[in-house]
Amino acid sequence: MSAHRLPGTLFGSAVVALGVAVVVASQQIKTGFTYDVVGPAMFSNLIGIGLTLSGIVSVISARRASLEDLPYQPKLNIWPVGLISAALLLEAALISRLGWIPAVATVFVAGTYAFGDRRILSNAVIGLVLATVILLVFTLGLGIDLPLGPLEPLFQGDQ
Amino acid sequence: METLALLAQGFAVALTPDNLIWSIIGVTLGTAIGVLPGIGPATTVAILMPLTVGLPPVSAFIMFAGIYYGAQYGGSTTSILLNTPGEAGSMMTAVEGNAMARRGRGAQALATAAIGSFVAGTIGTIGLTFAAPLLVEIALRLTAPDYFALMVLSFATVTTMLSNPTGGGSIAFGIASLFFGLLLGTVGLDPQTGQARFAFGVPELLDGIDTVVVAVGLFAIGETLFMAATDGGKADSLHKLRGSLRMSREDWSRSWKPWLRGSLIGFPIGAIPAGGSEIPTVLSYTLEKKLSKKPEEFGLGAIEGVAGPEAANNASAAGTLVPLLTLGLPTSATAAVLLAAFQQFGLQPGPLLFEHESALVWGVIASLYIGNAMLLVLNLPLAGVWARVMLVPRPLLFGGILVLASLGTYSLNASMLDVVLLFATGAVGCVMRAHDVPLVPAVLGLVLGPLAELQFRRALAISEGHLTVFVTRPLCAALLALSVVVLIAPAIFKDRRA
Repeated sequence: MSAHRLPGTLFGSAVVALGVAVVVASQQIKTGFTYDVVGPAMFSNLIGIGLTLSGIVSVISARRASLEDLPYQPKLNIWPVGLISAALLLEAALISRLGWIPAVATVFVAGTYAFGDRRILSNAVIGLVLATVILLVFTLGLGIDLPLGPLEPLFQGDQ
Repeated sequence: METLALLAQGFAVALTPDNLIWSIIGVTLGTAIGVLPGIGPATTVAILMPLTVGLPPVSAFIMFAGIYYGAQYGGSTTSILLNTPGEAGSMMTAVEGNAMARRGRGAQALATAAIGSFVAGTIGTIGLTFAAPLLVEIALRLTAPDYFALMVLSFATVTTMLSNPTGGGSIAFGIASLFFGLLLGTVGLDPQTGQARFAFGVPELLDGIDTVVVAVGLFAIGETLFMAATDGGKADSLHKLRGSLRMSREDWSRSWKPWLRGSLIGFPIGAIPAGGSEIPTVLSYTLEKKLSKKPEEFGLGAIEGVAGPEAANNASAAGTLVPLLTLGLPTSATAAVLLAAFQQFGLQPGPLLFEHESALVWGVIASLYIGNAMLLVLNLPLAGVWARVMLVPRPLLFGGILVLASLGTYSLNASMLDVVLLFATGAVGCVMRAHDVPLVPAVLGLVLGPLAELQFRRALAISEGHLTVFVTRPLCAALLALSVVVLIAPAIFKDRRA
């Protein structure tokens, strides 16, 4: 197989795999409610079948594709994607414990670093200020609470 | 005349000092986020949705109207000065407006876009005011199978419209995207039987997956990851604004007819449940080129080529609100996010909303007029400020987008799972972006899927399980047949050409 057909084939195969998984998982859904003719599993089965079919068609047309048909594919750098992904997952893990400000400032610094800005310290300051301003606007102005983390006791006195 | 009385009532609701301030805030924030390159109107509305959660519904939707129009206008500013259209509807503006900016006429391009948006937005909203009550009459007569067929048609057109016809297997890609969205829509408790689907024992998943999380993940995070993977921060060249936004007498005389023609093309196409904003803007561009006394200027910065498509884009945006409000049927990514906003407040757009929440609906429609006027007042003097927002260096810009995306997601339910989902959908969005798979069908599938399933099951409950119910009713059968045609036609034409 030529290299230019590989991405489309892989993508289509992933869609097929997802479709099959959906059909398999749909068998777990309880059905047989007398008041519901169709039941909750039918739609999810249809979705699984739809995914599978569209995946198969994608694979077929990817294998038929000639070089001119394909969009320009730039070279992909993996490490910036990995860095941002790691930062987002870290944020998910820590946001309720450490609070909004440090979690979001970390994501900000990781984002700027991934896009080639190496001034970690000054970006950390920008991130902290940005996160703090957002927190103050949301908590004081709009009454939507973002997690404070260790800063919690500072704000509890006022209530 | 009853319509005018209802509209007057709407203005009475919308025109309080508080609500005017919300409208100003909405327009300002909408434009500020909308001008950021890489963030289109749908993402802007999704990111800013949490801001409205604490407000009463009418104020929230007034702010939304401001955000919606602000985001649209911010997007055209970026298209003109940076040549990075945030969505299909601004493509023509990007071509001709950027050409104007290259010749040092960026200020006039922004002005004709702003005034044209105002004219078209107002005409479109007038159209909405009078078309909506008529469509409500029709909508009240539709039955479950008809609704299901309408939704299928909407799926089919959005999927076909957005699939890039040159890529390999693109309609299959679009359909895969749609089914992925439908799949996300089924996660959680089935509303009719209370059975859990695809929740895998995770309690937070039982409530379903939030549209905002998916929209922000697919669009904003997906874009950020893709940009990080491809060029790592290569700056676009920004064209500086020179001089005032004043349009010369010639600019005015070359702009006003395209504004009106663009509005007349954009609104009806936006209003049918199959429109979108790409077709009307391209149509308007072609028409203006044909009618222009100086067709040779097109491509080099003809002001008609900005005025017409920009008006068409805004009028079609107002047009998409017709099926959204009267049928609960979103036909664009932005409309899908707006539908999610309604659902956030426990409201389901459709004919019944006009009956039960008449004050709210007409308040929203009135607020569209207000938001539109506010936009003109704010944006003409502030254009220079918005142009400077775009100068933010790319690393800070994308760092900021990550922060805004976190904010939009986490402030919804304060759930860490949402942040994980944000990342996961972002990763999927990045892969889809890399393969040229359209993202909008996925968002539409997520929002509309549960409603389509509801109508599907209702229809089969009425017919006691006979699928024939979808073909024996003429309207329903016609809509379904049309959907099939829409899906198959591009492939046939492509084969003929080949």
